[in-house]
Amino acid sequence: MPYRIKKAFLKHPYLHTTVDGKKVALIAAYTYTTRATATRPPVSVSVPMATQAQLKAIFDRGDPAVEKYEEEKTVSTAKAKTPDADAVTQQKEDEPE
Amino acid sequence: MACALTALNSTTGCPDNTGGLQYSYYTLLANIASVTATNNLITAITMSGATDWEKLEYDKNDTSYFNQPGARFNDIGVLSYPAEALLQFGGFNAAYSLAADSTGDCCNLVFIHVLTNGQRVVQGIELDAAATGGFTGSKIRDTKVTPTQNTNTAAEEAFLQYLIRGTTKKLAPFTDLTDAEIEAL
Repeated sequence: MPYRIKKAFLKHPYLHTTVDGKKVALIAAYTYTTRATATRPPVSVSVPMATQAQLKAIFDRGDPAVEKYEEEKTVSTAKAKTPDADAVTQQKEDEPE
Repeated sequence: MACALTALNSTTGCPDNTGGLQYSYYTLLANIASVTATNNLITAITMSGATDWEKLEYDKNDTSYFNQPGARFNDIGVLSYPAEALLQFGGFNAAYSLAADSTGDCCNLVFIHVLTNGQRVVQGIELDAAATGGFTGSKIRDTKVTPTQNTNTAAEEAFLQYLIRGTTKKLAPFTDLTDAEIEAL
């Protein structure tokens, strides 16, 4: 089952955390610029979107921002044939008369 | 938390009882989206803002502390902890004034104090599994900084002090986040 961010946290476009010491974005990848200090110029930092494996790790450690969900099944408008029905048809065709 | 009795023993194992703070990190409470915690230990933090923790490196001159003296209303009533930390930065300059003014304007702050004994305690957060994100800010009084900037006399030291106060229902949680993990957030 895939993992996603709970609705209550979607209001934070820069939602992020760390997984194995690496910063990952939880809503969408983004770039930000660090503030300049006396010893360091501003630096542009890209934060990649978390992978499903990383979301799973965040979920498994108990983070309340992540949830498991079931993917919605797509409903086809074409005439639905079950594999079983196909198999039965094929079997009938193969049978000697 | 329900009433329970727990044995404690500081006479064996030589627990490190060195007092004081080494340095701290701080952020706005609003920058924290959720925390992951077990047994009062925060093991991970999810942030909501793009700019996050700032490091505070202050004088190591036996002035810094973080204290939580428990208090009961009418001596036997509701328990609370008026937590207080003091950080002192030697010097007196415009940069300090600017930092103090902008920090003093913040309504709700969270600090990770790295103690001299290596423990890391979090001021300004209370763990609450029922709350969105698994935490709240200080439940009784918000955690804020009251800056003081003194030149003092030529026989003394000029300094900027951050007095950080907030009142909580429970003692401050700890964290096992390392410097690298905090700075990566």
